[in-house]
Amino acid sequence: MTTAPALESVQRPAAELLYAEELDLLAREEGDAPKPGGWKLTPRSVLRFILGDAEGGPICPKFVGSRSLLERCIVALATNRGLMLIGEPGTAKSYLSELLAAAISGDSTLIIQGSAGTTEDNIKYGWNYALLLAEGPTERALVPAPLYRGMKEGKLVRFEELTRCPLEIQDILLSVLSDRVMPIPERSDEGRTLYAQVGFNVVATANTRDRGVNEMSAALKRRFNFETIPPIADIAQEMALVQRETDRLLARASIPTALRPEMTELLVTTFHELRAGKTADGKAMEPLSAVLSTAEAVSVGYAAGLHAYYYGGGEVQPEHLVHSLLGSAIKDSPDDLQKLHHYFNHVVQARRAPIWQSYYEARRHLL
Amino acid sequence: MNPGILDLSGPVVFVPVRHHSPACAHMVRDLAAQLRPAVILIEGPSDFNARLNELTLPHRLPIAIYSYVRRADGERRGAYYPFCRYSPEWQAIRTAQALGIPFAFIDLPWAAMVETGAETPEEELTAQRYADGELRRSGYVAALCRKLGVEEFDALWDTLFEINPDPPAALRERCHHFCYAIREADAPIPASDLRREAFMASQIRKALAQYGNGPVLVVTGGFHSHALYERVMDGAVEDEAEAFSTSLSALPAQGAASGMQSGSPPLELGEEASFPSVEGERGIALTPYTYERLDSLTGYEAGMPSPGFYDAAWQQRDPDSAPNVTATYRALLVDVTRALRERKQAVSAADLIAVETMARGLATLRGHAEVWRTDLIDGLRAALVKDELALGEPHPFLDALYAALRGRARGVLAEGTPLPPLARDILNRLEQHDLVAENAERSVELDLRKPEDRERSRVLHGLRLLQLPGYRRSAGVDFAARDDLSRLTETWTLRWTPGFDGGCIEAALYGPTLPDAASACLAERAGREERDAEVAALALLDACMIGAVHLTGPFRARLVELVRGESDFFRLARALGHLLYLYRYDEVLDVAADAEVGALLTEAFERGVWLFEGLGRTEGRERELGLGLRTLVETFERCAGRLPLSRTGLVEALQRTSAAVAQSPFTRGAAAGALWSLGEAETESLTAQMTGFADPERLGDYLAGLFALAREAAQRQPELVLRIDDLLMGYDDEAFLRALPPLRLAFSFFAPREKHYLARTLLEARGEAEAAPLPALEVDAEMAARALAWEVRLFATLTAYSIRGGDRR
Repeated sequence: MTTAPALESVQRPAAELLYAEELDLLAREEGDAPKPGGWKLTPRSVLRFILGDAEGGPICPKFVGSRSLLERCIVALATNRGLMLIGEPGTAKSYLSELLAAAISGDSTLIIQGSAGTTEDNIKYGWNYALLLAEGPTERALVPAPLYRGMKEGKLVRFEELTRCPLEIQDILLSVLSDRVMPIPERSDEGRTLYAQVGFNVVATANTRDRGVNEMSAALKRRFNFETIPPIADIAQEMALVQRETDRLLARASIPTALRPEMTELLVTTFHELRAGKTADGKAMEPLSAVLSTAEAVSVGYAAGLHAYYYGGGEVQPEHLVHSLLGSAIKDSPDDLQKLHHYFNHVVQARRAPIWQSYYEARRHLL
Repeated sequence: MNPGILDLSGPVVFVPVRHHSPACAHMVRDLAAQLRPAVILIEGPSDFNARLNELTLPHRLPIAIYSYVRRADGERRGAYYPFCRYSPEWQAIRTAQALGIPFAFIDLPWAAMVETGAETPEEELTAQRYADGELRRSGYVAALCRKLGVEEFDALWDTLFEINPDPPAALRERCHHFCYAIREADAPIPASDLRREAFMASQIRKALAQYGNGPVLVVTGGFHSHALYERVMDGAVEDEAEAFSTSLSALPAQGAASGMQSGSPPLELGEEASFPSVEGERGIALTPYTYERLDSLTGYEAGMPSPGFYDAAWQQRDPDSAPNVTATYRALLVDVTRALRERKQAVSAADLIAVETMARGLATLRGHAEVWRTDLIDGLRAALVKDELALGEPHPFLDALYAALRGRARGVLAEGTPLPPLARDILNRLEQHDLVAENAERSVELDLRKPEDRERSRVLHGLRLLQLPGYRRSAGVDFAARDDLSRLTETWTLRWTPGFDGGCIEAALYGPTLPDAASACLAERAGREERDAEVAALALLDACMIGAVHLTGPFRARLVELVRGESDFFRLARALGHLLYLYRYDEVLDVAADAEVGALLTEAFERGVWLFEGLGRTEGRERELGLGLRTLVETFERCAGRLPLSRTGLVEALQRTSAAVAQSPFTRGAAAGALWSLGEAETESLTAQMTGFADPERLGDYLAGLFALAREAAQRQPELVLRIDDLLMGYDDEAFLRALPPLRLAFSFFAPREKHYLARTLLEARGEAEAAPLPALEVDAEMAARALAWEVRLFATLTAYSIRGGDRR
């Protein structure tokens, strides 16, 4: 395959390249089992690709989440509605949409990045103006954008941060999702109407913090199935993930410090409890308004590692965690700071383990 | 596994079931019809065998057998054996009845299980038999779930047994294998299970001796089947069961035949005589039950979830019911849609198409032969819910969905059934306390300081909570308002009302005894509120009134949730007031220093500290705020010795509030006052802080807050009084007039006598003690203030026109 040399030099290869072997294996194993039109794999294989095999199977687990959630996502993509993944920032929505596109269409690169500046050209198509002047609106002059390509090739199109686009841009999707056609009025020939090929659908993501910036219209909502991607519910799984990712980042920055397991426990427990508004022993408290995703925990762990290496003794101590917690997670909300004080005074203080006690001591860095 | 257990032609045929499984119910019914056994033995309380005929009356299901025992320590332990129409046990009974086959229960009586201990989960006084505890906790189930790619035990069971059930014989084999594997994986088996099995095996052997030639059909939880088979077939006749029959109870062995059809030989298990005699009072009776209750059980007490769904599934596959072509899920979808539209949620036809597409797609992906419970749940959820679903948060769509899957069925006992336990309990209590209502109205005066009147009051409050007619409290002390606690009496008006008996039977749903039922009713009401600490405190007060302060686990958790969810400081402070009263000052409810109250008080205190710190501006509610903070501080001062209340937490919150620039002067003053009265602030720091409030607009508010919390200390601190005096004397007339109204409010916290002290402290500190006492004002204060203001304006005018050189007064 031509992708092999690319893999080594590419900073972050797409999922279908990274897991090409697994995808091949799945396709071989399922043979010619019936699958939805235009799909590369059966829904069952897509599920297996994402969840992975239990101990030691050839398919590695890629996403931590409940099986029924993934089942709903996959089935939704086989229906005539799009799939909208919502959740806090850092809950791996985009990653999940990449995995889905890689497994279902074998191509996760049809991405539209939603922003306040996203235009119709970025979504549907534009024109090569030199050719347009020379030849008129021919197929050669048309510059396809991801939605056009997805419809034409029968693939999944990923629309990131849909709610960051203004409403009129969002609503481009209305007719595409319900009638599955895209009119191209400039062209006069048979290319006037682009009919979506089977296999085309849209996976959009939106983070729940930005909703309300550009709330979706009811008409568009109706054309999507919504799935909330929750933060990782199992604290042990989250600890393993944070430990692994933090160590990887620190290693990449050539820092010989690693986060000690009890530090990871401190960090992930804090995140877990503040996020859920509930302590491990079941006491409720006010959840923080700051984003406390797993990704954020990794970045706090990483920052603490850097801090300890350059300005501390090299070993990550509770105070480094507190510093980084303040800087990278809490940001500038005085409310959250107050809640954090409360957390230290009422929860951390009550824990007798020495590591928790030194964590409590470190609260003086909270200001 | 011994393959002999699979034999259908042997003398004993074991039918393994999961309780409340429609597939197993069909299996039991079909096998019984096919094999025509000589007798059917069912896992159930054998001390009900004398009254089996009660079960054959035309009840409306669900109903339950309720059994209780009062142990030597006075604690009452009860257990329900619930039956719905798709229960395998119920179908065994109905089929036996229809075919004229004798049947009997063969499990140890509840009372004997309680004796052996470890039969009820901790703290729960009422157990639910026919639960799936042993299946749910199995490691084998977890492994099988992973292997088959299903999420949890209920989905696994549905996949293996319910969705596309095998014919009865094959289903029985599969169930035997499944349960055997679970049991093998879970050794060692608890001693209590072994005892029950020994007893059941001895009962089976007795039946076998009596009906040597006809097959004996044994319907029990699958977990026990293989063990019973081995015990019965190996002839290992040794164990405790034999020991039981040697310690014969003195109870008369009533004939077991009363439930038998005429023409069948009576079955004689000698049931009443063959379990150990149990000390103390016990009883057993039928009682109505609800699907809601069946569905609300969690953990090891849980049975199959969503009874409404399985009821519909049973109905749909029941050959005796009217033929029903609609798939189960469609009927439920109609219910859910109706419920949603009633709740004014928009559900269009297009939405329903999407739900159906999703549900069918999920069923296909999961390999379900028809759309099943989880497919329906997930389909609805995917297609209709357009909001973020936070974990554990309620959502109207999901609520309606779960309500429809739960079903609304409420059992009704047939005419002629003996009174349910609650009705008898109420009558006993009324007679015992001479509270039976007559046709003529009478009133009863209770003096709550007398223990016997307190008991009577508890009974009456229980009736009040159950809303049974005819018993009305017409006057008496109010523990919620606590405005007059000097007369601890209550007056109740009693009059027989026709609805009373019916009400007692209906209320039997809530529990077997008056305190149980009343607290369950309270718990239900508390469950309706989302977050309200005051509701929680008043519910606890009510629980205290009926003498049921030892709450059940879920009720207690609910109260804690209500307190933790409270977001209004004022409501929380009122709740704290109630709880503090109960914990420290109560004399008649017997709950002072009670651990339950203490636990809730601790929660409320913590929540209170938290809410106080997060308090926004509270214009116009200063007085309430002062009272609230005072309750908070008082709680700490009165209870910190016994309860784990965090001083640091309180002090730091007060310090932060007192220093918060954005907070109102009143709140900051109150926080400073609280710190001062807790001995956490020096007078100097207080007077220093006061300089920050020298602005006449703010001084009065600040002082009002300060005095509200530190009125004792404020009167006797010359430095403080002098500092206030300095500030006031520094004002010009205009400033003084502006400061006057809030100042007046501030000083209104003091009684006249206290104001006198204050004035004397000031005058002595200024060395003008001989001026005391100050002459009284001859007009009222408002008039004096008006005169002062008029005078100021007059002098200002004179000054403006240079008429009088601007000299002060």
